[in-house]
Amino acid sequence: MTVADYDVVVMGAGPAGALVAAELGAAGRSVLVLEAGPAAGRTWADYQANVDHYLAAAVKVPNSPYATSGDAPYPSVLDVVPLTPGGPPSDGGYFVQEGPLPFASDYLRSAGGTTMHWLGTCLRMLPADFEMGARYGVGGDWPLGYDELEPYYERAERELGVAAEVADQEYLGLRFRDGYVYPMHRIPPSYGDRRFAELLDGVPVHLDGADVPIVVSNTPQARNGVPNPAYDGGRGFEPVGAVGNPHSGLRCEGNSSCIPICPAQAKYNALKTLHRAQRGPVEVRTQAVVSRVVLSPDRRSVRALEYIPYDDGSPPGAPERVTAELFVLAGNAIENAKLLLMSGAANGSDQVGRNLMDHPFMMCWALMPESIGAFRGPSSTAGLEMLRDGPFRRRRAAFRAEIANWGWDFAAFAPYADVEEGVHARGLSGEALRSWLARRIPRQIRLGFLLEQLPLRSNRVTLDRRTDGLGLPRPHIAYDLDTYTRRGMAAARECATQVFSLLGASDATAYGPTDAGYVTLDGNGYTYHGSGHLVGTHRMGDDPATSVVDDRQRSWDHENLYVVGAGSSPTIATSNPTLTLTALALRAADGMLADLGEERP
Amino acid sequence: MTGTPLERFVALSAALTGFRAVELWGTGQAEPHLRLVLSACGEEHVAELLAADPEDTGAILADPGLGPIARNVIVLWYLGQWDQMPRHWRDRHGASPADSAGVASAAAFRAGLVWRAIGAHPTGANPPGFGSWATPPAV
Repeated sequence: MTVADYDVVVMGAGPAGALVAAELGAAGRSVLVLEAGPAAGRTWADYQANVDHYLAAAVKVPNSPYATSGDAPYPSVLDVVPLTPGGPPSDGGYFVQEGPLPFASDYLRSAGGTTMHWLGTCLRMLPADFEMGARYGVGGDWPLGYDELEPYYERAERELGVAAEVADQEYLGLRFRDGYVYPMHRIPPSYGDRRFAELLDGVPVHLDGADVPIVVSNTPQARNGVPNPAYDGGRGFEPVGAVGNPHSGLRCEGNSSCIPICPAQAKYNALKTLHRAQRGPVEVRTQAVVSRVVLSPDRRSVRALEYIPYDDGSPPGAPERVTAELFVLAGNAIENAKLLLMSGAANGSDQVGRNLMDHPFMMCWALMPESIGAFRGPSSTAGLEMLRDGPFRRRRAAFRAEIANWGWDFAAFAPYADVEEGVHARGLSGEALRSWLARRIPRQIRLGFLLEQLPLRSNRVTLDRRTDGLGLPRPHIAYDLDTYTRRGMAAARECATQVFSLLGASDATAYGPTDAGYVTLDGNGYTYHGSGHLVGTHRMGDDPATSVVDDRQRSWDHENLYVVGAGSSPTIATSNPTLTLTALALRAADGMLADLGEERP
Repeated sequence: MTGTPLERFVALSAALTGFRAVELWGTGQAEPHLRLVLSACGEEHVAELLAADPEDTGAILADPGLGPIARNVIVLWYLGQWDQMPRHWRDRHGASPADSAGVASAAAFRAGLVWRAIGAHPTGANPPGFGSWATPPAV
């Protein structure tokens, strides 16, 4: 009997991997975290270099501040191009995409994972989101319900540092423990949010033959604000500042750049959890790409992980092998599935890589009759949540809408495109240009609809024969939007039309057949983008024949393998996934501690 | 025609952008901006631009040789980015390797005038403070 190198080896230093490492390390367990990407940002100087890199970037997309490597590549939204039906796959970026539609989301391979450029939205799933099959006959049910996850939501809200008021969040069946308060008071609504609320609250939108009163709802955010002294039975909450500079980021300063980088680190990123993890016996190895899950001869357990160390500019090292009692894959829905497929592991159900989902992100934009002061504050501080559930879910996708604070930013490249239009197309200069911009840009408003997508076997990631810098297969993606989601897009477009009309705003939304994410339904066209929500490729369930992991995210096939992250979600729900994947990671960590013979106090 | 080339560049930039000269000096970008324009468009054309009457921006913008430079100068001040000169200008006046599109520098982006024009601040810099986004807009 040989002694294992570590108690636990974790692939991935994003929010799920860092948190599992922190929980196990806090229990005294030795942990090795293998991260494919660089350590960039773990010192304050490195982090500020990323901020400067962003400021000087010509195209400010989510991945702009961060280093790239051919040895641990990742997708960019700039790779997303229109696909020709029946034509060759697009292989311009990391993904090889066969379509018929492009999967439009990116992610980051880096210490901290994609929380380096997330927005920080921390909505809980609705109770109905766990029971889509039972309630509406579509999508299927989770193997656990809201009440089982509720205590983990509380712990996740502590870990991420969520600012919100319970009173704002009790809608559509969402319930909270008696006396519970969020760690911090809600982030102040933007001036635009307040104008929206004044003009819209209580006024109905007419959709699906029903009247639904509008509620402008403050969004729970993993963004440091004013701690609530009533938190934790009156013990209060201490916000967590920047890694390497703990006095920075204790409050949001209003940098208006949550995506792609919060210069102050007032917004949560997983570097904070990784930093906490290293108070315990936790070792982090970056630029270490896991290349194989090594199974025991009887295939009932995992014996080791193999990884390839690399150093940009030098030839990659030989694969190294590390053993442990437990193994945790926390690489995200694409990377987890890719590794399992490369290793022929955990796939007795043939579900690995299938049911890939995103929230197709559809923007609608308009010009208000008055200035609402666009381009101030976090990207979004409020949303329309009242259409996240309803009987309509039998036939069409539910959605939420974020209310954007940054004008027509991603929708129409404001304010850059406005300046170019003023100077070149309109021939303006001097005071005329300045006042034209001042009259136009502060009035820009935008809604961003996040559409639900059903799990489909055919939306899937497989292995392409094309390889990355280390010779590992690149992800091959097949993706489409079904009629259920397109009907949701039509309803969302109708919702935006009514909302803009109620605001007295002139609609400027424009979609075109040359957009990469252009789809049609009943002769009308809509354009989606990615939300960066990678969900569903290793679904959890209560039947090994139809799911990859159980309700604690342990592989049905290999007793000492956990596969964690939003890839475990059987349906995508109507909330942004990070809070839920964090809650699920905490629940998985409890399972791991039990497997290792620990009892939680 | 009075003043150094840099002073004349700032006087012309003030007329082209609608901001006062003192505000442009205060950005710290006058000198790097002029350097960039010189390297991208050549000394001869820039000298001609700076010799023109800054009070008559209409004539400058209408001039087939000077107009495209002046419009790029406006964009440079407003966004901190250089757009490549139009094809017809490059064909006629010669193309410099320095005439390539991109953000001039992080500092140039931070100093972009568009953010002041709209009562905001450059994204990722000069943060106005916690809760500032809740106040009624100044613009």
